[in-house]
Amino acid sequence: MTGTLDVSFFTAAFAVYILSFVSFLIRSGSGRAIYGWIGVSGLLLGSVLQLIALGVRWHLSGNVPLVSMHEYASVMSWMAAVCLAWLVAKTRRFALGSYVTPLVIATMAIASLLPKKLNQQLVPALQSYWLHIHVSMAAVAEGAFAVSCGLAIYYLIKERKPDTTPQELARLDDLNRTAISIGYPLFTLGALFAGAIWAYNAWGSFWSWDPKEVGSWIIWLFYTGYLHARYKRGWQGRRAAILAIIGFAMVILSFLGNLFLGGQHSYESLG
Amino acid sequence: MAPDSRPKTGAGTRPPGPLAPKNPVGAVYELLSDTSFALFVIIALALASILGIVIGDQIPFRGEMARLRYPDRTGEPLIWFLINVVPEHPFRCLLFRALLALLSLSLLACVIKRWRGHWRQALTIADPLTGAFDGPQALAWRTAREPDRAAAEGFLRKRWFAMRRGEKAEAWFVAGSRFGIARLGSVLSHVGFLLLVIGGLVMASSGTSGIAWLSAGESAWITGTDAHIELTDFRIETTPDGQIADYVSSVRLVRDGTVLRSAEIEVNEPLRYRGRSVYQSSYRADPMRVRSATLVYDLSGARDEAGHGATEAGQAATEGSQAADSGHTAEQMMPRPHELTRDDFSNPVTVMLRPGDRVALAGTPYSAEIDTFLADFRVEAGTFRLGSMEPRNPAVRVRFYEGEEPAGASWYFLFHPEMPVGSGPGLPVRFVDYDPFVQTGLEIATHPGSAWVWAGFVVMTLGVMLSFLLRHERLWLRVRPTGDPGAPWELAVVHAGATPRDPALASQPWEAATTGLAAQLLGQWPPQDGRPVRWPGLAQRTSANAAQQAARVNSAHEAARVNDARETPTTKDAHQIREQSRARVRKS
Repeated sequence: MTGTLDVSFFTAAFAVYILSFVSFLIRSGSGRAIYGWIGVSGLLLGSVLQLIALGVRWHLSGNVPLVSMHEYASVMSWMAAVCLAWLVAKTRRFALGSYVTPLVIATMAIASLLPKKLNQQLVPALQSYWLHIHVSMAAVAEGAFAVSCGLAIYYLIKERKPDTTPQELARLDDLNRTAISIGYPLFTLGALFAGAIWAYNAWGSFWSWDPKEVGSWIIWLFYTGYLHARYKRGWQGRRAAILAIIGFAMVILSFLGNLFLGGQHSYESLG
Repeated sequence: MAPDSRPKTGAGTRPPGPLAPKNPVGAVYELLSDTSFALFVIIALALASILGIVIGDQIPFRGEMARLRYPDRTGEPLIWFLINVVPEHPFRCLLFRALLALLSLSLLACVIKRWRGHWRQALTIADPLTGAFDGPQALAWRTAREPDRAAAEGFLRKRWFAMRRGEKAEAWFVAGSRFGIARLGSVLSHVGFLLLVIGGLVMASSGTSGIAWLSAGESAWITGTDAHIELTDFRIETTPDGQIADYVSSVRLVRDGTVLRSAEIEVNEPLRYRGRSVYQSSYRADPMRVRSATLVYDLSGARDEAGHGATEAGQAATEGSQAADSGHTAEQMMPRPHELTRDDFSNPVTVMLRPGDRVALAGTPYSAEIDTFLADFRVEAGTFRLGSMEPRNPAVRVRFYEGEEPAGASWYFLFHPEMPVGSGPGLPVRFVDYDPFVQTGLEIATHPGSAWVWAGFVVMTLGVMLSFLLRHERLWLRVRPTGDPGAPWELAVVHAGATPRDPALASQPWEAATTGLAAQLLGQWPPQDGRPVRWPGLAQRTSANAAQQAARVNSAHEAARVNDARETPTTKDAHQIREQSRARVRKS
């Protein structure tokens, strides 16, 4: 069963995000702040529409919309959009929108390509309150990683421009650190710990080196390394930005790995 | 891992660890506690994990190959090495475990090395007169009015700052510190991870797990206890549209004939008993039992061949009993020409057989009952056996009777209806369906390291929350006389942790925030225009290096002012703070 209403809202949100991106681009070209604010408003409107889409799915299926890969990608992009809107509005750096919105759109594009079938009946293993805790925290954490990746790309581009001041770069670097500092604890507690406890209850083992578990383990190791490199070895600026981009690439690979690596987390296929 | 908010002056050097690198043990300790080494191990582990996940399912590992190929030579060193050191699972191989062990040792060394420092910082308030006010994060104002000490202390107290006060000659200072416990977050995170690794290793090495396949009425011992579980019912709950909603095994926990409790084991709801867990793991069709088997026989065929069947009934019965007694050889089961079933039944009759029930075949002189069922019928070395647990070749052996006399027995195959095998009565029969007897698969597991794992979860969660939710904040305030009659007092403020590491990157918003803080601290706005002096301690320094550094910092700071001034929002923020502070002063 595919709920057409939720897909309509999802598509509308997708379109609004694209318009928001266009608005940010116009802001970058013209320098007029009004287009930046239109972009922020677009992000907010898109996130509201997406929230409605998720709510409709919840209502139609009777299950929290965190079950399918489409829903997971949708929540991840929603988190990234909300974070981005807040960040741009807070810092008034509209150029951020030009660089991070494409990531939101890319995540939406991935979500739109995945099957949108509503799962009215969850498989027995998913019938647990841990689903809400584990998946929602992981999705929000990965949304934060998406934002950090966008900020890192923006940083690398700004770094090449001769008129960029060290203060601007330092602020971007700090925002990048903040995004990962939000994502990392959520990922540790939600994706790893909550997942392990749930696995212990459902499968009889905290950890079974399932492909998805290994993917999360690698992501966690990577961001742990990032934090150590940053705080203990002073890796800031360009190196930290490159690491943030690699980190999010790993997140995407781990997400898509579900489709072809199989394992206990493989509840869905493209077919 | 905690964001480092230490002041970057004064206490910038790391205290030496308990073991100096003068001897081999000390050198190893220094290596293990080095962050670069930890980063190296983390990268190696990540790469090994990527390799494991990419090639793990693709390449048959040598351990498994050796075990299969040389089952009789496991005592030889090479074979032993291949089997034990290179096992089939990439994440259980020696290399991976060695990397995990290295990471654990590194964590342990880091914890030992940094424990004392973190503990001290968490519980003590540093003395601000030891150079903190000489650093680039210090801001100072000259003022005609003596700052209000009581207001400063009140401000800190309200915000949960623990305070330390001091006086030196005519100068006084207040050092405030809050959420120092956050300094322990890093240590707790490391300790928590160590506990998790230990728990994981204990569990992997001494945990047990096995699946008990039970049908209703059957029971299985719970490993290592004197109790057993008895399955009373297993059901697969489905939705109206046929989707599986749940698997439920109803069991009774029995010890010495006494039912301790009854429980329903479901996915996500295991049964726990004395450190053992019983999980709803799986289910399957019993490969050797059916609830019923459905056969179709051809009544017209029965009439056509009735005489023939009847004449051979006695012989068939003899063959059938011989087959039953001798264990069913393949020769006996070769198809007989008269038993080949026709493609089309002109007068089919359906009959359902249940185990233990003999059913009369209407229209014929025969009755039939189920003798044996195999979900995967195979013939090997002249005898038949169950090939696998999967229903790959379901077959049922049916015994026929004419009256009370045996009239033969035949195997009928679900996927090969045209080829029954045996010594039946010559009645054309097809095996068309069966209702399997469903077994539940209950996993009975022990988790000897789970206490370590739970402790690891708790400690590491606490550590992560302390590290990322709380921020160790230190606010130092010093007031001293200047000797200048126009502005006899100097107020210096350090907000440790709020300044960027590189003083050249310190910007006006930070300065404005600290200025506002100073105003709130003292309940008054500093005189003049409120513009502070950066790095006041430098004025007292005499070395040329310090002067050069001061010049660099001040020029960078000035550049920062210009850049910040171009940015409307941040400048606006700074002005807002100033205006609010001024308004507060006016009111007072």
